[in-house]
Amino acid sequence: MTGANEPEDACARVRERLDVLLDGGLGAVEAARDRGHMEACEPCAAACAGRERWGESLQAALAPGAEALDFAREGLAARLGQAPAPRRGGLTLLRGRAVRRAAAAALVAASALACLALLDGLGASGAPVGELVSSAMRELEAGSLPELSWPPSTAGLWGAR
Amino acid sequence: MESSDGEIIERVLGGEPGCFDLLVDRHGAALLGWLGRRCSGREEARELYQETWVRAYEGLARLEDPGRLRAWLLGIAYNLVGKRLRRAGALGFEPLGEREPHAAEVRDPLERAELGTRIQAAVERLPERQREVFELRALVGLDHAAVAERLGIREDNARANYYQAVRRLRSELGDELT
Repeated sequence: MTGANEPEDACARVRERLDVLLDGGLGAVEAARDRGHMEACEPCAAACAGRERWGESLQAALAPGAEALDFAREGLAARLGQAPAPRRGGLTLLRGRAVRRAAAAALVAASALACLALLDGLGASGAPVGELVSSAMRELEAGSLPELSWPPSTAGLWGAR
Repeated sequence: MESSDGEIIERVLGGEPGCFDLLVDRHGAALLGWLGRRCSGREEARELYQETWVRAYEGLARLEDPGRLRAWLLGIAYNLVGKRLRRAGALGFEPLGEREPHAAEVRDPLERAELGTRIQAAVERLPERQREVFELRALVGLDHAAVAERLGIREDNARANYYQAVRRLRSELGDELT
Protein backbone atom coordinates (compact mmCIF):
# COMPACT_ATOMS: atom_id res chain seq x y z
CA MET A 1 0.00 0.00 0.00
CA THR A 2 2.73 2.40 0.97
CA GLY A 3 4.63 1.38 -2.11
CA ALA A 4 1.65 2.08 -4.35
CA ASN A 5 1.14 5.54 -2.87
CA GLU A 6 4.78 6.46 -2.84
CA PRO A 7 5.03 8.18 -6.26
CA GLU A 8 1.97 10.29 -5.59
CA ASP A 9 3.23 11.17 -2.16
CA ALA A 10 6.57 12.13 -3.66
CA CYS A 11 4.87 14.29 -6.30
CA ALA A 12 2.77 16.00 -3.64
CA ARG A 13 5.84 16.58 -1.50
CA VAL A 14 7.85 18.03 -4.37
CA ARG A 15 5.04 20.29 -5.59
CA GLU A 16 4.33 21.49 -2.09
CA ARG A 17 7.82 22.77 -1.56
CA LEU A 18 8.84 23.86 -5.03
CA ASP A 19 9.07 27.49 -3.95
CA VAL A 20 11.42 26.56 -1.14
CA LEU A 21 13.52 24.42 -3.45
CA LEU A 22 13.85 27.17 -6.04
CA ASP A 23 14.64 29.66 -3.32
CA GLY A 24 17.52 27.49 -2.15
CA GLY A 25 15.83 26.95 1.18
CA LEU A 26 15.92 23.16 1.23
CA GLY A 27 18.86 21.38 2.81
CA ALA A 28 21.28 19.63 0.49
CA VAL A 29 19.86 16.17 1.15
CA GLU A 30 16.22 17.17 0.69
CA ALA A 31 17.04 19.22 -2.39
CA ALA A 32 18.87 16.26 -3.93
CA ARG A 33 15.91 14.05 -3.08
CA ASP A 34 13.44 16.35 -4.85
CA ARG A 35 15.70 16.88 -7.83
CA GLY A 36 16.20 13.15 -8.06
CA HIS A 37 12.45 12.68 -8.14
CA MET A 38 12.09 15.23 -10.91
CA GLU A 39 14.62 13.45 -13.05
CA ALA A 40 12.23 10.56 -13.21
CA CYS A 41 8.95 12.47 -13.06
CA GLU A 42 8.20 14.57 -16.09
CA PRO A 43 5.10 16.34 -14.72
CA CYS A 44 6.97 17.48 -11.63
CA ALA A 45 9.95 18.60 -13.70
CA ALA A 46 7.59 20.58 -15.92
CA ALA A 47 5.91 22.10 -12.88
CA CYS A 48 9.30 23.12 -11.52
CA ALA A 49 10.39 24.67 -14.80
CA GLY A 50 7.09 26.54 -15.02
CA ARG A 51 7.45 27.82 -11.49
CA GLU A 52 10.96 29.00 -12.24
CA ARG A 53 9.85 30.85 -15.36
CA TRP A 54 7.01 32.41 -13.41
CA GLY A 55 9.43 33.79 -10.85
CA GLU A 56 11.76 35.15 -13.48
CA SER A 57 8.91 36.81 -15.34
CA LEU A 58 7.65 38.37 -12.15
CA GLN A 59 11.05 39.80 -11.36
CA ALA A 60 11.48 41.06 -14.90
CA ALA A 61 8.09 42.74 -14.82
CA LEU A 62 8.91 44.50 -11.57
CA ALA A 63 12.45 45.54 -12.42
CA PRO A 64 13.00 49.08 -13.62
CA GLY A 65 13.29 49.40 -17.37
CA ALA A 66 16.41 50.54 -19.19
CA GLU A 67 15.00 54.01 -19.73
CA ALA A 68 14.18 54.42 -16.06
CA LEU A 69 17.73 53.40 -15.22
CA ASP A 70 19.19 55.84 -17.72
CA PHE A 71 17.03 58.60 -16.30
CA ALA A 72 18.06 57.84 -12.72
CA ARG A 73 21.71 57.70 -13.65
CA GLU A 74 21.77 60.92 -15.61
CA GLY A 75 24.19 63.29 -13.93
CA LEU A 76 25.44 60.71 -11.43
CA ALA A 77 28.91 60.55 -12.95
CA ALA A 78 29.31 64.30 -12.49
CA ARG A 79 28.21 64.08 -8.85
CA LEU A 80 30.59 61.25 -8.18
CA GLY A 81 33.35 63.21 -9.87
CA GLN A 82 32.84 66.06 -7.42
CA ALA A 83 32.81 63.80 -4.38
CA PRO A 84 36.12 63.11 -2.62
CA ALA A 85 37.58 59.88 -3.92
CA PRO A 86 37.45 57.14 -1.30
CA ARG A 87 40.84 56.09 -0.06
CA ARG A 88 41.86 53.46 2.35
CA GLY A 89 43.23 55.24 5.41
CA GLY A 90 45.43 53.70 8.09
CA LEU A 91 42.52 52.75 10.31
CA THR A 92 40.41 51.43 7.50
CA LEU A 93 43.08 48.86 6.79
CA LEU A 94 41.57 47.15 9.82
CA ARG A 95 38.54 45.98 7.89
CA GLY A 96 36.24 43.39 9.28
CA ARG A 97 35.00 42.82 12.78
CA ALA A 98 37.32 39.95 13.55
CA VAL A 99 40.40 41.96 12.67
CA ARG A 100 39.19 44.93 14.66
CA ARG A 101 38.37 42.78 17.67
CA ALA A 102 41.81 41.21 17.57
CA ALA A 103 43.37 44.65 17.33
CA ALA A 104 41.29 45.89 20.26
CA ALA A 105 42.28 42.87 22.36
CA ALA A 106 45.94 43.44 21.53
CA LEU A 107 45.57 47.09 22.50
CA VAL A 108 43.99 46.21 25.85
CA ALA A 109 46.69 43.65 26.56
CA ALA A 110 49.42 46.13 25.68
CA SER A 111 47.82 48.76 27.93
CA ALA A 112 47.61 46.30 30.82
CA LEU A 113 51.27 45.38 30.39
CA ALA A 114 52.24 49.02 30.27
CA CYS A 115 50.30 49.70 33.50
CA LEU A 116 51.96 46.76 35.25
CA ALA A 117 55.38 47.90 34.11
CA LEU A 118 54.60 51.39 35.34
CA LEU A 119 53.43 50.13 38.73
CA ASP A 120 56.35 47.81 38.96
CA GLY A 121 58.73 50.67 38.48
CA LEU A 122 56.87 53.15 40.68
CA GLY A 123 55.98 51.28 43.89
CA ALA A 124 55.04 53.65 46.72
CA SER A 125 58.23 52.97 48.57
CA GLY A 126 60.28 53.11 45.47
CA ALA A 127 60.53 49.32 45.48
CA PRO A 128 59.16 47.32 42.56
CA VAL A 129 55.65 45.92 43.12
CA GLY A 130 56.88 42.34 42.99
CA GLU A 131 59.27 43.10 45.82
CA LEU A 132 56.53 44.76 47.87
CA VAL A 133 54.28 41.74 47.49
CA SER A 134 57.08 39.38 48.54
CA SER A 135 57.81 41.55 51.55
CA ALA A 136 54.14 41.60 52.56
CA MET A 137 53.97 37.83 52.26
CA ARG A 138 56.99 37.46 54.50
CA GLU A 139 55.47 39.80 57.12
CA LEU A 140 52.17 37.94 56.89
CA GLU A 141 53.87 34.65 57.51
CA ALA A 142 55.77 36.16 60.42
CA GLY A 143 52.50 37.56 61.85
CA SER A 144 53.80 41.10 61.91
CA LEU A 145 51.11 42.60 59.65
CA PRO A 146 48.37 44.56 61.50
CA GLU A 147 45.09 42.63 61.93
CA LEU A 148 42.34 43.60 59.53
CA SER A 149 38.93 44.40 60.98
CA TRP A 150 35.50 44.41 59.30
CA PRO A 151 33.87 46.76 58.75
CA PRO A 152 37.07 48.65 58.28
CA SER A 153 37.55 51.53 60.64
CA THR A 154 37.87 54.97 59.12
CA ALA A 155 39.12 56.51 62.31
CA GLY A 156 42.66 56.41 61.19
CA LEU A 157 41.79 57.95 57.90
CA TRP A 158 39.61 60.86 58.93
CA GLY A 159 40.24 61.14 62.68
CA ALA A 160 42.53 63.35 64.65
CA ARG A 161 42.41 66.62 62.88
CA MET B 1 35.97 36.09 -15.26
CA GLU B 2 33.81 38.77 -13.71
CA SER B 3 35.38 40.63 -10.81
CA SER B 4 33.73 40.26 -7.43
CA ASP B 5 32.40 43.27 -5.57
CA GLY B 6 35.32 42.97 -3.20
CA GLU B 7 37.86 43.12 -6.01
CA ILE B 8 36.18 46.14 -7.54
CA ILE B 9 36.07 47.90 -4.19
CA GLU B 10 39.76 47.21 -3.68
CA ARG B 11 40.49 48.83 -7.00
CA VAL B 12 38.39 51.87 -6.21
CA LEU B 13 40.08 52.28 -2.83
CA GLY B 14 43.43 51.64 -4.43
CA GLY B 15 43.12 54.71 -6.63
CA GLU B 16 40.89 53.67 -9.52
CA PRO B 17 37.69 55.59 -8.73
CA GLY B 18 36.35 54.96 -12.23
CA CYS B 19 35.79 51.32 -11.30
CA PHE B 20 32.92 52.44 -9.09
CA ASP B 21 30.78 52.51 -12.24
CA LEU B 22 31.00 48.73 -12.33
CA LEU B 23 29.22 48.60 -8.98
CA VAL B 24 26.58 51.03 -10.21
CA ASP B 25 26.04 48.81 -13.26
CA ARG B 26 25.77 45.72 -11.13
CA HIS B 27 23.53 46.95 -8.32
CA GLY B 28 21.80 49.97 -9.81
CA ALA B 29 18.67 48.20 -11.05
CA ALA B 30 18.00 46.50 -7.72
CA LEU B 31 18.47 49.75 -5.86
CA LEU B 32 16.29 51.75 -8.23
CA GLY B 33 13.65 49.01 -8.23
CA TRP B 34 13.36 49.31 -4.48
CA LEU B 35 13.53 53.10 -4.41
CA GLY B 36 11.01 53.39 -7.19
CA ARG B 37 8.50 51.58 -5.03
CA ARG B 38 9.14 53.92 -2.11
CA CYS B 39 9.15 57.28 -3.81
CA SER B 40 6.34 59.49 -5.00
CA GLY B 41 7.80 60.21 -8.41
CA ARG B 42 10.68 59.47 -10.71
CA GLU B 43 12.43 62.73 -9.85
CA GLU B 44 12.43 61.85 -6.20
CA ALA B 45 13.54 58.31 -6.98
CA ARG B 46 16.41 59.65 -9.05
CA GLU B 47 17.46 62.08 -6.36
CA LEU B 48 17.56 59.39 -3.68
CA TYR B 49 19.19 56.93 -6.06
CA GLN B 50 22.02 59.32 -6.79
CA GLU B 51 22.36 60.41 -3.19
CA THR B 52 22.66 56.76 -2.16
CA TRP B 53 25.46 56.18 -4.64
CA VAL B 54 27.32 59.34 -3.69
CA ARG B 55 27.19 58.42 0.00
CA ALA B 56 28.27 54.90 -0.77
CA TYR B 57 31.18 56.21 -2.80
CA GLU B 58 32.31 58.56 -0.08
CA GLY B 59 31.98 55.94 2.61
CA LEU B 60 33.25 52.96 0.66
CA ALA B 61 36.31 52.54 2.87
CA ARG B 62 33.99 51.97 5.83
CA LEU B 63 32.23 48.99 4.27
CA GLU B 64 33.28 46.07 6.44
CA ASP B 65 32.19 43.16 4.31
CA PRO B 66 32.20 43.67 0.53
CA GLY B 67 29.98 40.61 0.21
CA ARG B 68 27.22 42.63 1.81
CA LEU B 69 27.50 45.60 -0.49
CA ARG B 70 23.92 45.42 -1.69
CA ALA B 71 22.54 45.20 1.81
CA TRP B 72 24.75 48.13 2.77
CA LEU B 73 23.51 50.19 -0.17
CA LEU B 74 19.98 49.40 0.77
CA GLY B 75 20.70 50.52 4.33
CA ILE B 76 21.81 53.91 3.02
CA ALA B 77 18.70 54.12 0.84
CA TYR B 78 16.51 53.13 3.79
CA ASN B 79 17.91 55.96 5.85
CA LEU B 80 17.43 58.47 3.07
CA VAL B 81 13.86 57.38 2.46
CA GLY B 82 13.19 57.44 6.20
CA LYS B 83 14.47 61.01 6.46
CA ARG B 84 12.38 62.01 3.50
CA LEU B 85 9.28 60.46 5.01
CA ARG B 86 9.86 62.14 8.35
CA ARG B 87 10.30 65.47 6.66
CA ALA B 88 7.18 64.91 4.59
CA GLY B 89 5.31 63.94 7.77
CA ALA B 90 6.50 67.08 9.50
CA LEU B 91 5.18 69.10 6.59
CA GLY B 92 1.86 67.30 6.72
CA PHE B 93 2.27 65.27 3.55
CA GLU B 94 0.76 61.86 3.16
CA PRO B 95 3.15 59.09 4.23
CA LEU B 96 4.25 57.25 1.13
CA GLY B 97 3.72 53.82 2.63
CA GLU B 98 -0.02 54.35 2.91
CA ARG B 99 -0.64 55.49 -0.60
CA GLU B 100 -2.56 53.55 -3.15
CA PRO B 101 -0.47 51.60 -5.67
CA HIS B 102 1.97 54.02 -7.16
CA ALA B 103 4.86 51.97 -8.38
CA ALA B 104 3.82 51.80 -12.00
CA GLU B 105 3.73 55.55 -12.30
CA VAL B 106 7.17 55.77 -10.71
CA ARG B 107 9.26 52.97 -11.96
CA ASP B 108 9.33 53.50 -15.62
CA PRO B 109 8.73 56.51 -17.78
CA LEU B 110 7.48 54.22 -20.49
CA GLU B 111 3.87 53.23 -20.40
CA ARG B 112 3.56 49.92 -18.62
CA ALA B 113 1.75 47.05 -20.19
CA GLU B 114 -1.49 46.04 -18.52
CA LEU B 115 0.07 42.90 -17.15
CA GLY B 116 2.90 44.87 -15.57
CA THR B 117 0.41 47.15 -13.89
CA ARG B 118 -1.55 44.19 -12.58
CA ILE B 119 1.59 42.67 -11.15
CA GLN B 120 2.48 45.93 -9.50
CA ALA B 121 -0.96 46.17 -8.01
CA ALA B 122 -0.84 42.59 -6.77
CA VAL B 123 2.44 43.27 -4.98
CA GLU B 124 1.00 46.43 -3.47
CA ARG B 125 -1.94 44.46 -2.13
CA LEU B 126 0.26 42.06 -0.19
CA PRO B 127 0.16 42.48 3.58
CA GLU B 128 2.82 45.00 4.54
CA ARG B 129 5.31 42.57 6.06
CA GLN B 130 5.00 40.14 3.16
CA ARG B 131 5.47 42.95 0.69
CA GLU B 132 8.56 44.26 2.44
CA VAL B 133 10.10 40.82 2.59
CA PHE B 134 9.17 40.02 -1.00
CA GLU B 135 10.67 43.25 -2.31
CA LEU B 136 13.92 42.80 -0.44
CA ARG B 137 14.26 39.17 -1.40
CA ALA B 138 12.92 38.99 -4.95
CA LEU B 139 13.58 42.48 -6.23
CA VAL B 140 16.65 43.63 -4.34
CA GLY B 141 18.13 40.15 -4.13
CA LEU B 142 19.08 40.09 -0.46
CA ASP B 143 19.37 36.70 1.20
CA HIS B 144 16.97 35.85 3.99
CA ALA B 145 19.48 36.62 6.72
CA ALA B 146 20.01 40.12 5.33
CA VAL B 147 16.26 40.62 4.89
CA ALA B 148 15.69 39.57 8.49
CA GLU B 149 18.42 41.89 9.73
CA ARG B 150 17.09 44.81 7.74
CA LEU B 151 13.55 44.37 9.02
CA GLY B 152 14.48 43.38 12.54
CA ILE B 153 12.77 40.01 12.38
CA ARG B 154 13.93 36.41 12.66
CA GLU B 155 15.26 34.66 9.58
CA ASP B 156 12.62 31.92 9.66
CA ASN B 157 10.00 34.62 9.91
CA ALA B 158 11.46 36.30 6.82
CA ARG B 159 11.39 33.01 4.94
CA ALA B 160 7.80 32.27 5.93
CA ASN B 161 6.64 35.72 4.86
CA TYR B 162 8.44 35.38 1.55
CA TYR B 163 6.88 32.02 0.71
CA GLN B 164 3.45 33.29 1.72
CA ALA B 165 3.91 36.31 -0.51
CA VAL B 166 4.93 34.16 -3.47
CA ARG B 167 1.95 31.87 -2.99
CA ARG B 168 -0.40 34.76 -2.72
CA LEU B 169 0.95 36.40 -5.85
CA ARG B 170 0.71 33.16 -7.76
CA SER B 171 -2.84 32.58 -6.68
CA GLU B 172 -3.75 36.13 -7.70
CA LEU B 173 -1.86 36.27 -10.95
CA GLY B 174 -2.21 32.64 -11.92
CA ASP B 175 0.04 31.30 -14.62
CA GLU B 176 -0.39 34.23 -16.96
CA LEU B 177 3.17 35.33 -16.41
CA THR B 178 4.60 32.29 -18.08
